[in-house]
Amino acid sequence: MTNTALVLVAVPTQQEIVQALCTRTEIAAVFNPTRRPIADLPVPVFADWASLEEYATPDVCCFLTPYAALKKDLHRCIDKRINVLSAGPIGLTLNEIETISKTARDRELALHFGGPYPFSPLFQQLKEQRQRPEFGQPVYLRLVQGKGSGLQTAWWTLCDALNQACELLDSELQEAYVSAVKQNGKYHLSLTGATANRANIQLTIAPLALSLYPDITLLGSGGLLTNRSVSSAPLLMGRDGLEFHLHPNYHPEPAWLGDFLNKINSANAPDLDWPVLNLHHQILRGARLSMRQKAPVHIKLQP
Amino acid sequence: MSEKNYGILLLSFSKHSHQSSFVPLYQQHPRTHIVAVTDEVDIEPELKAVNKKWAQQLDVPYIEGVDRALERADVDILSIGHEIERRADLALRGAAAGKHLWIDKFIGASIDECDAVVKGVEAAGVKSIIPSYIYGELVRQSRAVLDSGRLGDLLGLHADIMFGKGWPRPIPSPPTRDAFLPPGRWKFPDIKRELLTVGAYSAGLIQQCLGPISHVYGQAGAYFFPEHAAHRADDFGTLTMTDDAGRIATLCAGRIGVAAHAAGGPQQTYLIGTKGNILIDAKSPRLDTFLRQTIVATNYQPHTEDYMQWHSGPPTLAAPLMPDNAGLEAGLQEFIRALDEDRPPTYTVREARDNMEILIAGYLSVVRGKLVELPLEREAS
Repeated sequence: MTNTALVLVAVPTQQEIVQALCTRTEIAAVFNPTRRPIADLPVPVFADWASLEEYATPDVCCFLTPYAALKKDLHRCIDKRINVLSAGPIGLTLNEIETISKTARDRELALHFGGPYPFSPLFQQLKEQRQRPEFGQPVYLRLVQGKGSGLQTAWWTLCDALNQACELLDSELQEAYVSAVKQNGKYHLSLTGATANRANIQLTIAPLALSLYPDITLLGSGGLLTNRSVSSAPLLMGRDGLEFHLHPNYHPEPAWLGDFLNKINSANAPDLDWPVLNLHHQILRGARLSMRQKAPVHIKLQP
Repeated sequence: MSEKNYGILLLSFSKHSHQSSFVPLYQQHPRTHIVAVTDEVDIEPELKAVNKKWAQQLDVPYIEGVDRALERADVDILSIGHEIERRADLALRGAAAGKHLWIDKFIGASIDECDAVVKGVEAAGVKSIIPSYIYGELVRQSRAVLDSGRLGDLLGLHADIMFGKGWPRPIPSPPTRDAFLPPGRWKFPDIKRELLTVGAYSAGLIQQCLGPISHVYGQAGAYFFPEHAAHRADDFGTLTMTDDAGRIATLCAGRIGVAAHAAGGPQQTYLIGTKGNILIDAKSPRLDTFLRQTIVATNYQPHTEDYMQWHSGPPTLAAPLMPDNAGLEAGLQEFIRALDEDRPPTYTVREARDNMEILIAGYLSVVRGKLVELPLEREAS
C-alpha cells in the first residue's frame, strides 16, 4: 500500500505532540531515529527510511527533533523531492544551507526552519497583552523551557526561545552572550541578550523533556505578564503520582504544520531568513566554546 | 548556669537601612535586649531626630558619638544600620572595640573597604553576620532540595527578584548605556541603585549554591522611575555569570512599581540539575486573598514621605503562610548560636565581601559593555 502524504520525524518524548498532530492532520507515518519505541500512536512508526518509503511516498517531511543523522536525512528529503519543515535549525554551515536551499528552489520544494511557537496560545496571548498601551515599554523577558537533554535539542529550544523573545519584545537583538555547561550527558544552555529597544533577555534551557509551554515572564514599564506552565496545566493526582492532562488544543504543532501545508498549496512557501540562520549557527558555536572556556561567550551579531 | 543575654547597640536608623525591621527581632528574642541608640555627631539633623525618636520610643538612651557608645560594657552586639558609605569605618571601629557585628547588607562601598572590614573583623576575633541574604525562604528551600540530591548535580541557577514598590512614571528620554553611572556611588537622597540593593539577595543565593564566581556580564538601566534616569542609575538590571566549574547563574533584580504582582513582586529561582529542575518561590506557600473591597475600592498611592517604599510594603493579593519569609529571625537565632558556640555564622563579612565583588563586577560590565572576570583588579573597585 502506498500513501502520499506527511511524514513526521519524532522521538519518544514527543509522543503527545505526535498524537495531537495525528488527531488534527492526516499523517502517513512517523520516523523514529532512536532505538526506544514510541508508544500508542495511530500511525505506523519506522526506524529506517527504506522501510518507511516502501510504505509511503512522502511529499512533506516534518522534523520535530534534531538527531545525529538529521543533516543526511535533510539531503535525502531534498534529493527525493520532499518538502521540508524543520522545527529548528540544522547544523549546516551557511554555504551548505545555501547549496541545499538552491537545490530546493530549483526543484520547487519548500524548505523552512522555525518552530511552532507563533501558533501557541500562550505566545499569542502574550503578544496581544504586550501590545496593550497599559503594558508600557518592554523591559525584560525571562523564558525557561526544557525539551530534552542533548546539545542539539537544547540548541533548537534556545533558538526557538530567542525567536519568541525578539518577537514578543518587538525588536532586534543587539547584544548576546551564550553560556553552556554539560555534565553526565545533560546540557544546560542560557542566553542573555539586549534588544534595540533597551529590553533585556534571559533564556534558560533545561535538560528536561516536558511537553508543556515555556515559563515566560515578560516585564513592561506598566506591569508584569507571567505564566507557570506546571500550575496552568490540569494536573491529575493519582496513586502513581502526578500526571498532566493537557487540553486537546494545547499543542501548537497541528496549526503550525497546517499553515505550512497551506503555504505549499498556495505556492507561498516562506523564504529562509539568512541573518537568523547565521545567528543560530553562531549560537551553537558559542555554546561549544562556552563549555570549553567555562564562561559566557559573546555572539557577534550581523549589523 | 543561665545563658548570656546580649546587649545590642543600635547604630543609626538611616532611611536606606533596615534597622527599624531589626528592632522587633531584638525585642522578641529572649536572649537579646536593646541598650542604646547611637550615631555619629556629624549626621544630618533629620537623621538625628529619627534616631532620638527611636531611642525615646524604645526607652533607651541616645548617645551622640559612636566611640563613646562603644565604651559601654553592656554592649555585646553592634547593629549597624548606617549609610553604605559609613559602614566600613563603623564596622572596623566596632570590631576594634571588641563588639560583635550585625550588619544590614553591605559592609562597605568598595572592594577595598570590604577587604579592610574582613581583615579588621578577623583580626579582632569578633563575630559578624550579614543576616539579609541567606537565612530566608529562597536559600533555605534551595539548599534543602540540593542537599536531598533529587536534582542530581546542579548545572545552573536562575533567580528573579523584583520589588513591586514605588510608583513608576514615564521617562521622557532614558539615558543610554554609554551614559550609565559607574559603580561607587550607590545612593542619592531620592534613589538607591536597585541592581545592587535587590541583586544582593540573589547573589547571596548563588554563593550558597554554586562555587566561586569567575565571570560576570551585566545589563542595567532606568526603566520605571525618572529619578533613576536623572541620576543615570539603575532601577532594574540583570547579571549572567559562571562559576569556576562553568555552571551558569543568572539573575534579574529591580524595583518595578506597585501592583505588578499578586504577592508584591516575584522572588523565585529555578534550579537546573542533571536529574531534574525545580522552581522555588519564596512567596509560597501563600494564601490568595481576593477581597472585593480591597480590589475595587482601592485608591492607592505610596506615602509621599516614603515614595520608593523603602520602609513600607505594597498592597498585595496574597498572604504568606511562612512567618519568617525574609529569614531575619533565623539569622538572629544563628548569630546567637554562633556566639554561644564561639564559631563564625554561615554568612559573615567575608561572604558579604564576595557578594559585593560579584555586584561591582556586574556594574563594571554594564559600564564596559563586556564580560568581567573575577577576582577584580584592585583599580576596578
